[in-house]
Amino acid sequence: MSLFWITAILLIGVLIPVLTERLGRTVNTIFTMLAPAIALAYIISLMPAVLAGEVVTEYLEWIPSIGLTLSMRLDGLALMFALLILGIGLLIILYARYYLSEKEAVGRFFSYLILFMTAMLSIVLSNNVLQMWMAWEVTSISSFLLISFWSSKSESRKGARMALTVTGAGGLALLAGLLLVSDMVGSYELSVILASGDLIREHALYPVALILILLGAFTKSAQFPFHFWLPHAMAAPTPVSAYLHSATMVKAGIFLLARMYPVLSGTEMWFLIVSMTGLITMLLGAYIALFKHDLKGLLAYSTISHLGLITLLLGLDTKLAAVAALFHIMNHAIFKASLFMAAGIIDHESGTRDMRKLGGLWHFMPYTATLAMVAAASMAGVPLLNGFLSKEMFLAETLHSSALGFISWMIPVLATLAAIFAVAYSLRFIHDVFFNGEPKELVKTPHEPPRYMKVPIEILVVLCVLIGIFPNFMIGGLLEAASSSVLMSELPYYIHEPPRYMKVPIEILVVLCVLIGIFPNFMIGGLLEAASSSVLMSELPYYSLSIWHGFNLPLLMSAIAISGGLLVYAYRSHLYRFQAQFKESDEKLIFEGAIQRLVASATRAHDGLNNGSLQRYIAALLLLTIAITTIPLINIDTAATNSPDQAVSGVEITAAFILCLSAIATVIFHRKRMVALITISVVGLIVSIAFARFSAPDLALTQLSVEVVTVILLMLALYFLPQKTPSESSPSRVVRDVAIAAALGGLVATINYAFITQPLDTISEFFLANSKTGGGGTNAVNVILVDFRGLDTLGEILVLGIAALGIFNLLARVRLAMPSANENGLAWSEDRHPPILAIISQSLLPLALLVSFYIFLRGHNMPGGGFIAGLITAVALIQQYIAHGVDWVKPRIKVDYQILIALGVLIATLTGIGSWFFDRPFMTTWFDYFDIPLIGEIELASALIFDLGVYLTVIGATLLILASLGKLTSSHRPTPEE
Amino acid sequence: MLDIAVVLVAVMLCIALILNLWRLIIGPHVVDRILALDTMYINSIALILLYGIYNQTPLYFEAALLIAMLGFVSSVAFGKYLLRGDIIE
Repeated sequence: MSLFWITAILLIGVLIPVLTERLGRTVNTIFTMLAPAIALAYIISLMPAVLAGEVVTEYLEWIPSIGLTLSMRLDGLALMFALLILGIGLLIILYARYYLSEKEAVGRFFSYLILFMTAMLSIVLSNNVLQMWMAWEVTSISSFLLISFWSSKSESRKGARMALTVTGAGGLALLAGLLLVSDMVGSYELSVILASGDLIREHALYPVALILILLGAFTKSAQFPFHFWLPHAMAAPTPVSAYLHSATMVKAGIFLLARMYPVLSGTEMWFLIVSMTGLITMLLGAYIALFKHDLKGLLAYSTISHLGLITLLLGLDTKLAAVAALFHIMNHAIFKASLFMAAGIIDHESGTRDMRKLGGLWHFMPYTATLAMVAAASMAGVPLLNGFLSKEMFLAETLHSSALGFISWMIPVLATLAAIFAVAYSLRFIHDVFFNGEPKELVKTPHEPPRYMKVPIEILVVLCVLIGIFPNFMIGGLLEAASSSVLMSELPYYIHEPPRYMKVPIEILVVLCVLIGIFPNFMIGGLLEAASSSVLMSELPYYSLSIWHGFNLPLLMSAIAISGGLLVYAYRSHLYRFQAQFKESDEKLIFEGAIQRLVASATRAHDGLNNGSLQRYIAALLLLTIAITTIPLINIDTAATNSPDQAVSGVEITAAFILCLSAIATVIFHRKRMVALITISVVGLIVSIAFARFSAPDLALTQLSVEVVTVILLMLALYFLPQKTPSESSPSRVVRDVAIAAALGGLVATINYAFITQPLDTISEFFLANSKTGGGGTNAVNVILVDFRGLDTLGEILVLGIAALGIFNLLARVRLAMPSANENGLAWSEDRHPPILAIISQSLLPLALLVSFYIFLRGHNMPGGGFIAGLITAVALIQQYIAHGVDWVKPRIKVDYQILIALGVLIATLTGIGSWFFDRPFMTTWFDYFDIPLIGEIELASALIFDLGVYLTVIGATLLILASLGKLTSSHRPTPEE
Repeated sequence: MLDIAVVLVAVMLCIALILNLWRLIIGPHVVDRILALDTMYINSIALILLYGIYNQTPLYFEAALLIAMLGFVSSVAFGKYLLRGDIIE
């Protein structure tokens, strides 16, 4: 199996919940858990290798010419995150099965969740920065879907939009940063980037790249001043909050910091920005969390605070700080997920999350209360729990830091202050909810939730306790592997076993834990066993941390934090009164205001440019063309002119004279539309003759047939339009327009002159030399169309067909007023179909068909081909419409033009596919020579069949457009049903 | 002999084309202009054939054939437009 299978299996897993939704919720849940469980099992199977220090990488070439590969990487860091994402993800799925009510579309929910999980996993497993960025964006989008799952609520939509805007904008900055870094290194591969830290740090653009990447990371992980989106994302269903804000989404930003740590860290700038941002975020989050009355609000700000803590650790200039950061990532994910789930249970069973209403829930749900208390104690950093260990490491590291130079002493002091608040809000979470009197104004009587709803929390809480007590045993190896892939050097910390006497009370405690927590469930839950054993058995590496360092400063800081937290909580009413003086600002309103201002300015800019005036668009377009083309023309060296003067005959001068005069006449007569149409026909005629004169007979033939079709099209349209254009332009506008037109005309003339006089390398020689040998035809133009550039032609006829169908559909809904008299008020003639015209047209048809067939057949070697032949046939048929009317033609031509288009495209495509059967690339031409009696030797080429497709499509498209327009005035006009 | 004839015919055709254009521009009626355009098509056929004779190649014959065969379709469309307004009914 390959690493690519992990994402592949999960992608399939996105569909499974929707497909199995009908089978009932329990079956649906089990099927949903299948894909992540397989992925997790595979990751676990790779664990021994990764823990032994191996980095598993895999490549899949995609577009190697521009450096795009699909590439996967599983190192310690990725392993740690993958275990968190999949493990906690599985628990969340189980939890959500009970959390969502019966009416809700649980299949859709699970699909979004798995999609999000896939994206998250792709971030951590990517070995290519572009690939990582793609997955990063998918997490933004899928988290938007998850947060706005209850889309009927306004706050869900607003919260989701805010999260998407902030993280999406950060994602753009990240892309720019990653591109800069890749440009410095010359590769998108992470392996290469990680190996060139010095190169990047010494690059002149390093500060720019650093800030852009940090912007991406900080917006995603809700660091100050981008933290405001996270509390509003709490409008999501609680399983989503538990997942997004513990193990995933916000941790993606942290992951990015850790991933880029070997490359970007080590400079003054990194330490300053990252540590200061982390410090501010940690303090702000911890402080605000205390004042939140909403359970999830408290947890949201506590999450912000802990993310700040991790960021601060990554910004400290010691290596052990990075280890502590990774340790805390794991611990925070575990206890925060369980706390969110506990909050969800409380909300679910009591109907409110407001701590002012809750209280005394201990009597109603003692078991949940126990679980929540252990998790909250871990969050507060109470000894013997995992939160304590990483927090003590954190406090110890703040003491060793010199990131802020002489004022570095502030860091441990402020860290202790944040820890005090952490204890206080954790205490509040427990005391206000489970004790503190009786519940007030509850809509329903609280009770214990369904058994399996608690299972995920139980597992996580047991993990909290186990890691807290046996850290070495539980996660030591994983942490070591993850740290070494971040630091990319030998680990700086030392290992020793905890003293024996320390273990005894702990062991007693664990037995108690097991008796109270695990045993009942092990006895009941088959499902629980499957879920928990996969998590518990997975994390069995040896442990290399220690609990007891003796009485030292970090321990003292922890003690201060706990006692200080108790004090702050006891006197919280004073703090509340102080805080009440501030006007509470709603970030949602501020954000919406900012977005609306942005939209308003965008609308102004848009309306300024796009005001519906065709004249303005054309003026802007032409001015831009003038600006862009003038510059290279200025740079052309006039001295390089080398072509000799060409002889000009009297006929050419006359033709040029007629061309110029009729073009000018078109402008002069443009208010009389009919006359302008006649004069512009002269222009078309002269251009066709010029094509013939300058050895381009194919172009001449095409131009002639297109001319006819265009005139008919314009006549058809002119019938419904005013006959005269009123004079509306102001004099200044006329001057402006004339100036632009003259400038552009001069420019085009200059370009033409440059083409004639400048030395030029063209690819014509190649086509002329190869058209006979490579494509089997002597007409290079046709060989290019059907062979050398056959794929282009295929695309073009497809576009032609689509355009024709689009016009048909537009016309199907159009009902236009028909003028009853001409421009001079004279009534139309009564003679609808003059007999002379009818007879001549009818006798023309076989002749024209013969000519078109001849031109079609000889096209490969002589001027002609499917396109011209198609136009000739179409014109001949249109002539029948003109001469006889729709009523006469309709029963005689029983061909459906839409089907004709489809048939043409199909034939052309099948011809192309045909070459696959001979093991050749798409659209390889085959040709050979045959001797047929009476006719002689002829050449047959597969290109002829392709050309037949072109021929049919052109006929179908031309007739569909012209006939539909013509039918508008008849009883056969197209209807929307057709 | 042929060379002289070609030059003479070319001069005559050029004069004819310029006179056609003159009529096309001054009008006065739309019918005059349509007729002028139609005549220009015919003169163009002659011009293209003359060019083929001059270069002794049949390559341009199809272009002349197309004008002869299809050129009148636009004239018919113009005429039908004057007659009924609606050219396909």
